[in-house]
Amino acid sequence: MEILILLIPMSVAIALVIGAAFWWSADNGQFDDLESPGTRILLDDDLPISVKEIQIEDSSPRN
Amino acid sequence: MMNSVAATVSAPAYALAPGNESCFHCGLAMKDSGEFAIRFDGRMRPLCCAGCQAVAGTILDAGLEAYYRNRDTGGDENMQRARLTRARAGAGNGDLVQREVDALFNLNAVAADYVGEPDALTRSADLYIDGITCSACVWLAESALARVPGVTSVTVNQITHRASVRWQAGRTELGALRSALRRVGLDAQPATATARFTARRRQRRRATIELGVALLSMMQVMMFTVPLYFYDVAEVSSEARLLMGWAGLVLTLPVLLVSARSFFAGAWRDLRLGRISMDMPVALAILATFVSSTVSLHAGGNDLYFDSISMFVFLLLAARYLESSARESSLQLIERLTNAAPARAVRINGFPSDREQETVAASELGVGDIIRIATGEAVATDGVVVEGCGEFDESLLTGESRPVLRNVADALAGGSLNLGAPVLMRVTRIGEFTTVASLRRLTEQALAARPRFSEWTDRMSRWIAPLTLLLAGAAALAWWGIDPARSFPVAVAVLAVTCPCAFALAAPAAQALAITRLAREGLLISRSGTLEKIAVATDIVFDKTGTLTEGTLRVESVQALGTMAVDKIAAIAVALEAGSPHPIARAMSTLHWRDAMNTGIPFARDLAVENGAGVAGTVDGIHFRLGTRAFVESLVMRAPPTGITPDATLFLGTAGQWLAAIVLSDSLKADAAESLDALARSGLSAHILSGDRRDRVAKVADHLGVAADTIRAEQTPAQKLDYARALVAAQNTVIAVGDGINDAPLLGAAGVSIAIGNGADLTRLTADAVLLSPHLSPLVTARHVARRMQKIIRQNFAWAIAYNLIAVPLAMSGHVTPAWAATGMALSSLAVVINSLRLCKRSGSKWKF
Repeated sequence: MEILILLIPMSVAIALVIGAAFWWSADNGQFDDLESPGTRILLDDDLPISVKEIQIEDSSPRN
Repeated sequence: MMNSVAATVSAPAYALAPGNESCFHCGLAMKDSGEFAIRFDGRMRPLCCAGCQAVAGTILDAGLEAYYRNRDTGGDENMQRARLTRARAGAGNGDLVQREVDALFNLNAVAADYVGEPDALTRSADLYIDGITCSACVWLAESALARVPGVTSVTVNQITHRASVRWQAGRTELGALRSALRRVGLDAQPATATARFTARRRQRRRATIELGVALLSMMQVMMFTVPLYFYDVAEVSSEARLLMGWAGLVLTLPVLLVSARSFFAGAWRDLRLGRISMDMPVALAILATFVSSTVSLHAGGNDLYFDSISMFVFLLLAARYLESSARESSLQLIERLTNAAPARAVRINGFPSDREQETVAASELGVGDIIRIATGEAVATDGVVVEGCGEFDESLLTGESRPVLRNVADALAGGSLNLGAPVLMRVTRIGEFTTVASLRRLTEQALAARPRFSEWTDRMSRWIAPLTLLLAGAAALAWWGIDPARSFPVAVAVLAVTCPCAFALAAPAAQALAITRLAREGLLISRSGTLEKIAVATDIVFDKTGTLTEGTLRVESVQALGTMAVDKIAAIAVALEAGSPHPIARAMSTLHWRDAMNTGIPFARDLAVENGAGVAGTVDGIHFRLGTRAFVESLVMRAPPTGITPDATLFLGTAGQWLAAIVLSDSLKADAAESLDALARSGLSAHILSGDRRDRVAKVADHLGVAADTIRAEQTPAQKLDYARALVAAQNTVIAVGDGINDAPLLGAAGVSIAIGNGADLTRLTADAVLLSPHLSPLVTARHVARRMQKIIRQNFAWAIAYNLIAVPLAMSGHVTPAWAATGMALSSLAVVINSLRLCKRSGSKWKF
């Protein structure tokens, strides 16, 4: 059972790291909208930004 | 591109209805197909109007056809109507007014209010987007914005309908973003970058963090403490035991410092003000448990209650979080609507001698300026009419959809819509002093009030808290005499076991779940204690127009008086009212769908609107008048024929001939009869108070089965108030349901006020609840849920009392170990939460009372 002496502090450290990570993500708005990100992945919009801009300059004229 | 995607779709989401019966874009039923259509997936799809065609065209041309594949079509008529409105707005691509507004947002002076500068090369702004109904709309908005050259990042929040955009300075402007959204049929209003919004977002995130930290800590601390309950002392070495104790302590600290902060703050505030609320025993229990566990750990003892602390805090925060979420969404809605202040005004310089027009930003207006409000435009700020008169739609403030006539010297409120002829107005109030701004301030105040546990719970806590302390003190004293070493642990065990968890959760858990449940149905409860009153209410008072009825006019029947056929009459009436935002014109457009499509709509010239009377115009060389009896009679120059339906309010005539009498009506909500019946069966007696004519009210009451002695017609707001007061004076608990400012006194007098949420009006801000659903059935659900909630809260309290009656004597006699305390606490709170969860379940298809 000596391994507990090592495992317990380790798990405390990991829990604190996870807590800090959660804090950071909540503070950065990762939990602001829990609805759309889940479905957003299903919408095909795989074009990288650079391709998109070329497309616009090519095809869709802006008035 | 189209061929490649066509193969992958098995069950197309855009198949609203078989055949050519509904518009591909907005989904509304259409009579005639063929005039407008668009190619999608290799087939021609029918469209109902030019507006839908323009928007669908833009969406497909931009390669955004995934929108049609993924959007949530549903069968919701409101959603379809919203889409149609958006399409009509989008059809105004070339609309001069919209383009002028875009140009204004590009001006530095105006943009300064909306655009932030994160750094020298980047600009950022937030926009409220109207009409987001599903994830595909979010995606459409994001794609439309991302395709504007210069935009570097876009995120659209589906819950708040707020888009945050960043772009490279100089490459695009705020107005360009707005027009990019309008081209795909989404209307957007830039949001002022207020500290208020940022503060609220921070608060919301803070609550998420508090809850998450408590949850994480709860799980981890249990991992360390639970094994100690079940394993023999010999099996775990004393070092490991000590280490696990310390690990529990370390992981409880974040709960104390982060999550439980609000309880401590509340307790401290109560202490200074000299009162007791639920925060007090909660804070005391947390603190005492923590201190005693720490002392015990230090002394090498086994009385550790760290897991109880984090679990307790987590459960309380979870209940609070659910409650504030429901509140938040109601307030966000109100805020979004009040944010829609117009940004543009036409100023007349040198009035009255000179009449030079200049388009300026609303923020540049000063008191005393003269501005011109054209037909269909919104009033930029508060003022007084100086020239002309017109009908104004003040539904933003009053919820009343029928327009009011405003003459010279009458006051105009910012945000109201001019439906009649252009008028000139002198500005009397600007900026923070306008009606719209005071609306916004009220919202702010509503936001500032923290969600509180129910008053009843607070009353309970008034004696639970001292009682707990008394018992713990008595136990400590008694044990001091028996065995001084055990005196402190026993006192703590008493505190931990009684630790008002089950009591504290009994009401909030049930309330939070009931509120969430009702919010899903479209009834937002914004004040705690409302549900308790709904449960015991005896009477329910309805306003008629807009509450029991739809609040919009429809053509009920057309009676031909002359030789002209009905479909020709309809075509002329639609032509005369075309393009007018007046409610009667909107009623005409319902006629258009039914009868006039086959004939085609002619073009009307020389249109002249006479306020409060009607409209005159020339169709195919013949002069017509459509309006009140007197207005038409002055053209016909003859008395109308006999046998006209007495209900007719609108007439059509030409020189020398009466053509038609049209009956307009305000139809009852589809589920009104059914809902009133269900409410009556639940023991509520219904009353109808209306400002409308006696016969019409009687007709509605008769249809709904409301007894004749509980209806009052032709009521002024003051009379409505007296009626409600009389009910209240007779010891009845009254629920009042109404819309608009004219019902405000009535709502104020009643025990529970429920506002109909069609517009953003003052009533909604002061009401206890807002009905967002277009149906009345959520009221029935509310009655049912409120009653069940009462029952469940009572069960919860009974359970909490029973638990304590067993646990306290055991703890006081020193028989409770930390393991038992933790188990007892967990079970007692779990029982309360699970019992409350029954509120979210629907028992069968029909509500039983």
